[in-house]
Amino acid sequence: MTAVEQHRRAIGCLGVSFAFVMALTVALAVTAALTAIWPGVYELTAPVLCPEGFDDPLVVRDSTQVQPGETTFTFTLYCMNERGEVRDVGVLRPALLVFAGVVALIVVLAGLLALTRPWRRRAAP
Amino acid sequence: MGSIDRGEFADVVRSRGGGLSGDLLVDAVQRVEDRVGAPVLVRRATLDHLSVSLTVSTSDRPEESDDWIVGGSVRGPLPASNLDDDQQRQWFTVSALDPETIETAIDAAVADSDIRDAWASGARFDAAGEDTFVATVTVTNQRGSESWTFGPEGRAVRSAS
Repeated sequence: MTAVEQHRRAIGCLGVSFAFVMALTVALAVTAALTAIWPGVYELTAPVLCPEGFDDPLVVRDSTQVQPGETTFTFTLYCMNERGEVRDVGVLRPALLVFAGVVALIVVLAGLLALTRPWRRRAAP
Repeated sequence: MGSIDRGEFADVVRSRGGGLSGDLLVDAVQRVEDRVGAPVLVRRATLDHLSVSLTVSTSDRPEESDDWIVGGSVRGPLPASNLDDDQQRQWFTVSALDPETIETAIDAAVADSDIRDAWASGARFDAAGEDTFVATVTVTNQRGSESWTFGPEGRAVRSAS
């Protein structure tokens, strides 16, 4: 392998790493915004996280006043059955699943963008 | 948007009968046994729709009891007062608990109650001999409540209102 090829490979690896970190950062921001705007997004994770027979997902909002003028909200996913029994799925697992979904969406979009490669067509004579 | 507060959540649970779960009780005892590392003798258990409070001992130290609270997490042991000889003879184990029987009895208490639009707000399981218990289910609405008792076999007997 020539020095030029090694250099190109190193730049390529760096680019992929940078793209990966950027994708995770964007996914984190999108997940946080999505959860704040529409906490019900956690309900989409119910088919994976709710036990069998607990088919009604509910996202419960808890507000805590940290200090005067500052309130934090926590969203917890519960799964309920017909008797009103509930299973506490919690906060972390639905959030991680939503995050994973957003990452997957970004990867798919990036893949589609790379396949179409519009910037290369524009560069062609 | 897409979420409800705790008050609305409680209303949904009540509208479906209270949501007291026999599985939650069995699961709580098993989780405490996992933490203790040995089978436990349950002295008392109190159940609501989200958590279980337990007072338990181990067979090697039956005079000592500890309180545990099991919900999303397991909290305990919180040392409780020592038991006298009579109290030490009263215990039940997880094998005495049949979730289906417990839930059937709770549902029957709600259905047979004279209280309109009632729900089961809580249940208490007190050891009543060797590996047996008496359960007291509180059936309530906004205006009042009444208690129902039943044994491990699940036959409900109405008691004081």
